[in-house]
Amino acid sequence: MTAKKILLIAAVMLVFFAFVGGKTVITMWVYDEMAANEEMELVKAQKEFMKRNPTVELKIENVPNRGLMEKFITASLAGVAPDIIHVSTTWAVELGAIGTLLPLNDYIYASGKDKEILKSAIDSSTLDGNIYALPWISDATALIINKTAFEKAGINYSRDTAMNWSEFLEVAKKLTHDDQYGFGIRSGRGAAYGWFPWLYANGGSLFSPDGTKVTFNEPEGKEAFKFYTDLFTTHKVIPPGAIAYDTWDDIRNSFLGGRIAMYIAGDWEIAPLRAANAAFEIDVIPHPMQVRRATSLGGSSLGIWSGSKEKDAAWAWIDFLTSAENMKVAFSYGRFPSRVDALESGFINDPLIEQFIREFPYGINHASLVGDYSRTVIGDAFTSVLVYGEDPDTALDKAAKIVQEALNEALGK
Amino acid sequence: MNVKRFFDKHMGFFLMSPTIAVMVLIIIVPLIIGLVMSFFNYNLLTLHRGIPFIGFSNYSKALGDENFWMAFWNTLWWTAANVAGQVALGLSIALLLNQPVKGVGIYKALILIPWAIPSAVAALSWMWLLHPEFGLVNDIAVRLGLVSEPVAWLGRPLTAQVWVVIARVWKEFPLSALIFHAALQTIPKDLYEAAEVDGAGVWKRFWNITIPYLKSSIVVAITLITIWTFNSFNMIWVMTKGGPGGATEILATSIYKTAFQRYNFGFASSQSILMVIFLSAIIIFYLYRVEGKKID
Amino acid sequence: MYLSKKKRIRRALLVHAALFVLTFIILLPVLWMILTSLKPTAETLKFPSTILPENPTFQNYLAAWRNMRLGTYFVNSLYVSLMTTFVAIVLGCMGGYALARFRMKGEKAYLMFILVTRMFPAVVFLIPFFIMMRNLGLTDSFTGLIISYTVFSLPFSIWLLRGFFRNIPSELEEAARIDGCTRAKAFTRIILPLSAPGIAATAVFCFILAWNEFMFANTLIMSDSKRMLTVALVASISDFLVKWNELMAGGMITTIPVIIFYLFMQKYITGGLTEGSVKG
Repeated sequence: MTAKKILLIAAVMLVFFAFVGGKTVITMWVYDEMAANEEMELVKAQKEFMKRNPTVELKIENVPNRGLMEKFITASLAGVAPDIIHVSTTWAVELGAIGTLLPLNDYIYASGKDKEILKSAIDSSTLDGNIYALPWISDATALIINKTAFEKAGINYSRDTAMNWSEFLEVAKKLTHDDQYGFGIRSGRGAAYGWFPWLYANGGSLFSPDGTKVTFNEPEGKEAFKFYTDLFTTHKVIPPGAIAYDTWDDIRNSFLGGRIAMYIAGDWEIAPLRAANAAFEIDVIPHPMQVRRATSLGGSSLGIWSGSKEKDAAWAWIDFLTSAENMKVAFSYGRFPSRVDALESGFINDPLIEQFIREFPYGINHASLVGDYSRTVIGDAFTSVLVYGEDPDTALDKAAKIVQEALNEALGK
Repeated sequence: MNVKRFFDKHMGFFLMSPTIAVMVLIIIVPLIIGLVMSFFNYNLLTLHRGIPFIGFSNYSKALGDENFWMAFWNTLWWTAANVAGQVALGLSIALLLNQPVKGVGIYKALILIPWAIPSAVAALSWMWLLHPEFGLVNDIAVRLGLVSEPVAWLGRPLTAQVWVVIARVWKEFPLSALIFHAALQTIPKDLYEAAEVDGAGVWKRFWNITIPYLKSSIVVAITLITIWTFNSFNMIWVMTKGGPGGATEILATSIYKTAFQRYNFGFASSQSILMVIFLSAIIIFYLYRVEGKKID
Repeated sequence: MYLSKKKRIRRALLVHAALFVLTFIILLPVLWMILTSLKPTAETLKFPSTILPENPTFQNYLAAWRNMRLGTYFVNSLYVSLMTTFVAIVLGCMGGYALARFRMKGEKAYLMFILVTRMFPAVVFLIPFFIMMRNLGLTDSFTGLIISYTVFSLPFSIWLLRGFFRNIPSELEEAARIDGCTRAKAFTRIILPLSAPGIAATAVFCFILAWNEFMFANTLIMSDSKRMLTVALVASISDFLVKWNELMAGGMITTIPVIIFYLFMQKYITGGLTEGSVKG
């Protein structure tokens, strides 16, 4: 073999590796079809990122939100999870505690992200000092109302002051007439999610501050649970069909169809509500309160799989996506970035979305070691009260016992 | 030539061994792994810390677990209702198809359709039919005045139980219809005609001619449907995930949840071994009563 | 004929009427699926429903194919189902032929074993398979899925093919062998052509078995790009949006190939059904 030939082969191999072998491939799972087509901002950001980092090939896969946590844990167990995962903010500590997510502290502090991202959102992703995911999008819930129905019933409302529970009940009763019901809730896990702010508003909490004890069945919790379930069982201001309002879609359609006049949800509802061209006017008012104002602080975060082989490249993408210049990505989906400078960014000019952002200071996240599971169990408690007619106190105590057992197990007791 | 002859002589062995090897690898080995796992505390947390052997603890935990027994009883009525529904509907259709009337062949082809549909798709289409607000079932029920307003059929325990059974009977009955139809065709036609001439009524003919001829295929159908329903997973999983509040939780869905939602693989394995033990009574009956004769 | 003509006509009408009504009720869910798949979204959200689509559209099929990415999943399902069928038929022909023609030790036990595996709950295999695939690095791969489908399709195809091979008189083969054919040659020249319809029917059953499967595909495949059709449809029900018209169009896309196969293979279905456990 001549030297020329050897050189040629070496050159070919070099070119080959430069194109194929030299690329760092990272994969991301994203939910809500955020990367469904080329026109979407996330896909544009992906292309921009790859242009700026020519050695990295970023693949984005759309995955269903339902059952995503289980799918990610299963994939992680099987050793085939994606490098970057888009998770609900409430899942981060749970996924982190079982070792599927990488603590991001070093990356976050080195890049100064801790000063750029909302502290409350970072806190809800932190367990024992480890930050398991970086909040990307945040949301808070508020009361969405059928303004026209309010006016017809002669009810005045305030966009600034929250109603207390008895005022709320009064309004809900006034709005319940003919085929219309005052209020709507989702069933099962959805009911639990909707109930958490009522628990907080009554001064209650899901777990003790050190996270080792279940507290949602203490007197404040029981009172809130009874109030919430009574809306259905005693006051009948919630339609009987609500026990099958499984998805946001179900409850929104019920609202749009004039079946319910109020429901609690986050800013993600506004885009589809506007798109549906409702036959009535819509407004958003503060979440009802009791001893304090409270609302569900939710949203989604970005985490890195603990088994990822390309952690630095994965972080580079997370860093890029949560930067100031890419706030437009979250806004393009009608969502709100978790950045402290988001409000001043001038992107928000929707009076309805603004109402949700005004709820942020009262936001509480239900993240915990068994946060997602407790949602399932409390959801079952709702089912047993609303469907089987069980006593609310008994149902809540039962749920507390199950969650406490799971918590003990998770803590290794 | 010798090699060829050797190969020829032992061909049976050469043909059998690959399939036996594959069957051992993909059936026996997994079953042994499952059995072994059931004696360990194999879950998400122990996976990293070391998996302890715990003897029969998983089994005693399962047998003392009220959820396990709830799933067991649910599986029993789920199976019984399915067997009754599928045999009744299958037999009626088969009897109609067996009438000496021209042009019934087209119906035979058409009633097979539900059975051809993938069960996941069938379950989705039933979810849509039973939709709490826009479903066709609600539409018909309201129009007929059976209910005053749309009902969340899958949101209430009793109605959910009834509808998952209806959905699966709808999906699976063509099987028993075909089994019965095949059996009915073996009955000599002149038997009926002779009986009719002798003045035997419809019921008498049914009990004295049809049923005796169908006896063995009814046994086959009942055992097969029992086994398959006992094992079934898809329809309930897609339609209700075992809800509301466990009303439609059967062993298969409950085991799946233990394994892939609570990640307790050891506990799930012990439950699945128990499920096989429950099932083995029916399998043994089937093997000796039905297939044992056919094998020779 | 002992019956009078009038009586016969009356009976024919009665039977047809009964069958027509029953078949209509039975097909109602399918009809509803078709009708919904042709309606624009606004029309699906009407109550009382519009029975026939007021503005029929094929848009949902396009949307399902593109937006729900059913095109990709269709190809995935096709690949896995074809490979499963291939494996089951090759191995099934070998095993089925051996069981049909040779007297072997333990033959009866082996047949019993095949029967029993077909009656085991799938969930019993699922958990060990997940652990095995994990250790072999085969989770989230088509290969892993094909291997797990073989658990059900192989016993089934061995059983069915054994039946078909046994129905071919062994004299034919013996005659060929006397004329100097080896067993292998006799098999390929005589048995295979004669049992071709039976093999085709078995192949169709194996294909459908894999195509309709849900539980293994739902558990062993994680990434979106490798998802199977049935799983993708169920997964498209999200917390935020369910487009029933597109979902029903997707259901039709998934079902049509199966129905076409059935229409072609109708003759063999009864035998296959009663002999084997095809379930979806």
